[in-house]
Amino acid sequence: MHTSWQKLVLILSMFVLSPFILPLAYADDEMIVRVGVLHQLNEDHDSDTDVVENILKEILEDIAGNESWRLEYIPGSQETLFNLMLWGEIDLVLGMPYTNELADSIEFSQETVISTWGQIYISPGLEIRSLLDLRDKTIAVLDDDGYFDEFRNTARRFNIDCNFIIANSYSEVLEAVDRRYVDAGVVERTYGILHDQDYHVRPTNIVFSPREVRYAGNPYTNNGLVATIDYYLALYKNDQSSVYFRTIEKYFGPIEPFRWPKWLKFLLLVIVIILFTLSMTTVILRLKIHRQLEEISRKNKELSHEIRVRKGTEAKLLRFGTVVEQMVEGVFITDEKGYIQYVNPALIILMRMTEDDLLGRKYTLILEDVESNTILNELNNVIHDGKTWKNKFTWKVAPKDILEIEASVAPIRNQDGHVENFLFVFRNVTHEILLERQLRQSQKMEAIGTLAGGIAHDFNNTLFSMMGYTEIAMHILDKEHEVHDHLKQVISAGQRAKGLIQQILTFSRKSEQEKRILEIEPILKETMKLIEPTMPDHINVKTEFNARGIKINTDPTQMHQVLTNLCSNAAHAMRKCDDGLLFISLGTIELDRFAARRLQLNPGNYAKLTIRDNGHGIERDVLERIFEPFFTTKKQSEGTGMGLSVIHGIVESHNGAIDCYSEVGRGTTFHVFLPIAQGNVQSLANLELENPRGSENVLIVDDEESIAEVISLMLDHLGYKSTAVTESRKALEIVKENPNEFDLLITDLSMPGLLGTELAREIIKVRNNLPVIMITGYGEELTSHSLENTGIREMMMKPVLTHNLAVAVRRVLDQDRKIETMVTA
Amino acid sequence: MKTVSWILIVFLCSLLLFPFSVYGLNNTIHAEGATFPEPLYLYYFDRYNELTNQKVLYQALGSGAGMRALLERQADIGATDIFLDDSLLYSSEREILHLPTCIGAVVITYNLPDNPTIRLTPDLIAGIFSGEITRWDDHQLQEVNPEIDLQPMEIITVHRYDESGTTFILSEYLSKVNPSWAEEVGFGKSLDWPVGYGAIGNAGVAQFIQRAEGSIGYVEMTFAESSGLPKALVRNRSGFFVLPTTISVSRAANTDVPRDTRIFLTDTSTSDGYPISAFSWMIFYREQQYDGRTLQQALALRNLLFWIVTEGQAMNETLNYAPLPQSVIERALSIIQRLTYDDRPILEYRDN
Repeated sequence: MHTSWQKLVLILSMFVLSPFILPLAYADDEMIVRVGVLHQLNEDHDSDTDVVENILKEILEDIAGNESWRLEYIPGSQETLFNLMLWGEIDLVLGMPYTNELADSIEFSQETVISTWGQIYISPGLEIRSLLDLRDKTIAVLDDDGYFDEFRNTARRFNIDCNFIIANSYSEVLEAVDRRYVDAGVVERTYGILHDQDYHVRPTNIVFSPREVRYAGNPYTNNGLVATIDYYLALYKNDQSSVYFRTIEKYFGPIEPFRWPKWLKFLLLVIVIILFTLSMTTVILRLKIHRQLEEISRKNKELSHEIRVRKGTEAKLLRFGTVVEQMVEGVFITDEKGYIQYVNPALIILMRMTEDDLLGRKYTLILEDVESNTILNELNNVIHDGKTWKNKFTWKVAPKDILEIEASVAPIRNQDGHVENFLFVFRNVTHEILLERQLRQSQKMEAIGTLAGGIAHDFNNTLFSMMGYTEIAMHILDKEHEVHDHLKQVISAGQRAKGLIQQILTFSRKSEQEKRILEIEPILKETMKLIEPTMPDHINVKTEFNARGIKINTDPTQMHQVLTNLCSNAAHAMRKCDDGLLFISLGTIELDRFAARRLQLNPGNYAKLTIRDNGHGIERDVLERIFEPFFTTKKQSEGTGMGLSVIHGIVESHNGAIDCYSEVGRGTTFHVFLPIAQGNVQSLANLELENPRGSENVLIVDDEESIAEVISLMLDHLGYKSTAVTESRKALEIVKENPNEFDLLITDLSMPGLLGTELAREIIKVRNNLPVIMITGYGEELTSHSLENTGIREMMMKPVLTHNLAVAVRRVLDQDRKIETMVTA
Repeated sequence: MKTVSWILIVFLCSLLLFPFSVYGLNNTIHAEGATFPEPLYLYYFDRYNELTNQKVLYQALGSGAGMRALLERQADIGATDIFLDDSLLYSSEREILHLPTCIGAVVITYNLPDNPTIRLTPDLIAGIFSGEITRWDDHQLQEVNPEIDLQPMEIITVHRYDESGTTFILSEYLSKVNPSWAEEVGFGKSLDWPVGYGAIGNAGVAQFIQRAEGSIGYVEMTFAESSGLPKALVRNRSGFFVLPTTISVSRAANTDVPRDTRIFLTDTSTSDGYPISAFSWMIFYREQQYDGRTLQQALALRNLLFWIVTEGQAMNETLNYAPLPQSVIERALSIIQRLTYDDRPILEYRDN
């Protein structure tokens, strides 16, 4: 138990101490020490004080051995021993509890041998945590150990009533607790430590009355015993191997600085087991988690690959889906039996139906408006056989909406080659077909143009020689000569003929128009002089020319044609107006960037010709098409539909623009913008507007002989062969006799016999294409009904001037000839 | 003697006619002492208060405390189970009277399996409480109780730790009947018990016995009754095993009772008397004019005491206390007669 060096220290210390101890030993050889011991009266007493006394005894005996004391034990009660000590009968008392009272009369050792206290023990089933829990409990106590009194006093101080059972020994106390005779017992702690394991009891935390057990010496004998004992005790307490520790260990077991409670050990063991289990579980779980993580990351990779593939597929599908959705062509997809599963927006628009109307229906129901049974039969075969198909058909989707459709059907097969769906694609080709028709018309026009161009070429040659000889003749003749003027007329007529040719060439766009820089105002003023007289009486013509000196690069004939045409259209639009107003103005305008862009022109200064009427106006959908060739709202006999398209072409060839504003019921305004040209006016030699001439036979009917002779003379001067009669019936007879002799009938409206209109109607029966110029002295308007089935082309007011007559005659005759030409073509 | 009887009769009649006077209305009577008669006394005093409006306070602190309370003049009445011995009695400056109120009995009680009623001889009781007989299956016990199969169990004895008249009566009895007990243990209010646990009060003993199987102890009969503890038959001097009952205990007093009633009723000569019986007394001063006490106080005391030994006796049995036999009541009345106020017999004073 003890190491050898500890023993060595003890021995050495003994040697060191021996000089102090030995003299005492030698001085009193075998000194007798009378020692009082408590609780030795009754052999059966097993009080804890026995233990304490034994410890005290054994230590004292060790000291006695060293000091050569001879110990004599005198038993007795505490009181007896106390008295014996006072009487000097004993030297020491063992186990006398130290109290301050006793310390006054007894010399206690300074060193405490052992400390002890009272402790409450209870039976294990009881819950006692504090003194208060002992209220009304039965507590076993020992009568004479002092703890009973102290405990009872303590309990009283706290007003705790307890029943006490007084036992004769601590063993009885513990037995009473063990057997549940009592609830608790008061036991001295050293006894409890030594014996509680023998009983079914457990100590509580309730402790009280701490006591120190010391050696009690007789203060009166003053033999130094207590001091010697103190010396040894101090020495022993510093030596783990001394008799002090040996004795205490003997009774109380090995002294440990701290005794772990059993429950704590158990708890620690449980905690360690739990921690071990937890750590093992953690390790296992980590391994599992690691494995699962690997699995997860592998699956993640697979998943991400799958996601990439899917995303790619999705993107493709989306792209295809988007393509189908946004296709211009109408698409629907049916199942293998032809029931519609999908329609794209274009088809919905095309069909003028909703998606709900279409989905789930059979394709045949969709196509029932197709104006061909063969198409449906074909499609039935296609669906049945799973073939592809392509065709065109006309589709009447709405009463006024007829579409030209180019359709294709294709089966969609799965991986096994089974037809699962059919893809129908409908392409609206109505516009293309219209353009195709227009192209055909253009091609026809081009053919006419080519023909006319061929004629014009020869005619120009002829005209050239005619005009050339006439010019030679004029040169030869004196200017004052009578013939000179006639020749001049030939020239003029020749120029006019040339202009006609050029007009024909304009249609065919084959002509290289000869443009020159000219002042525009005089050209238009001159044209107006021709137009104004032709306007019906109910149309008031106003002109406003503010472009003096403004020059453009132009062909005057074309300018004439533009103005004439626009005015003619205006007059036509105002034909039902009671108070028609034709307003023609010419000015200049500077087009800025924005205005120019709208007109698709370059910014700059332009001459602006405006022709405004207050006619019926043009409807919006018509307005968009007015410049299309052959588009016309006029009756077959009233127009060709070529007018505005020709005008458009002329203006564009001038690098200008034509713009139209119109409101239904309020009128129409045309603006013609022509770029202003810089430079000198290139004047035309002999460009004089002279009376147009003709050589046609003109039958003149007027009841007034003088008027008929004047017109006849004028016409004769103009080269016409005129036959003048004064009776309308005679005129009818002359025509009947020779229907083709006359090219023009100029007649007065109001005549005896037959009226002018009646005459015209009668003559048309004989010869349906004889043009008539009606000359009237009253200005009365003829209704359209009165003009029906007559050859009346022009109305003229008296007095008729030679120039006007010439123009009118010429125009009427030319107009008829133009129509003849086209019919021929 | 006849004169006395006549006076007594007249006195009684007067008391009955004017039994509950206005005296002492505001003068509480203080009583202190024995624990044994406490339930009875509290019952007396409650009833008496109801009848007379006389308040009586009782503090049960033990017979010794009752004696001291009177001697130290802390109480008007002391209550004790032990009469004052001659030395005490004669050392008192004033004459002290003992008035028996009831007869108590010490019951040997125990805790045994199946709760048998055991028989005990005085020697067995002495042997058990002296620690000579330690086991229930001891042949001496078995001999007396042949019909009971006593278990081989250790006998655990429990006694009164505090000073107690109960202990006194038992030990007095045992000393009387068992010479060795008289020699080794003796008698007194508290003893150096050779063996056994000590408990405080009758209740403490009763409680311990209830908890400890194999235990044996002694309590006043009332506690045994109220706790439901078994009571042992005790063989009396006549050789009969007598169960302690109010009747058998009361019979124990059918003996020659001295005039001052100071007598141990233990080991009674009556054949049907329970041998461990004893009077319980109230003690008071004969001369009631002391410490400035008024006549009213004296009369109130007189009336209370008179009521106790007459009407009050009817309540004894209700609470399992043995009533005084008629002979003893006569003794008691004569004791009350001796009360004086200002050296004049209180009987000569009228309640008014």
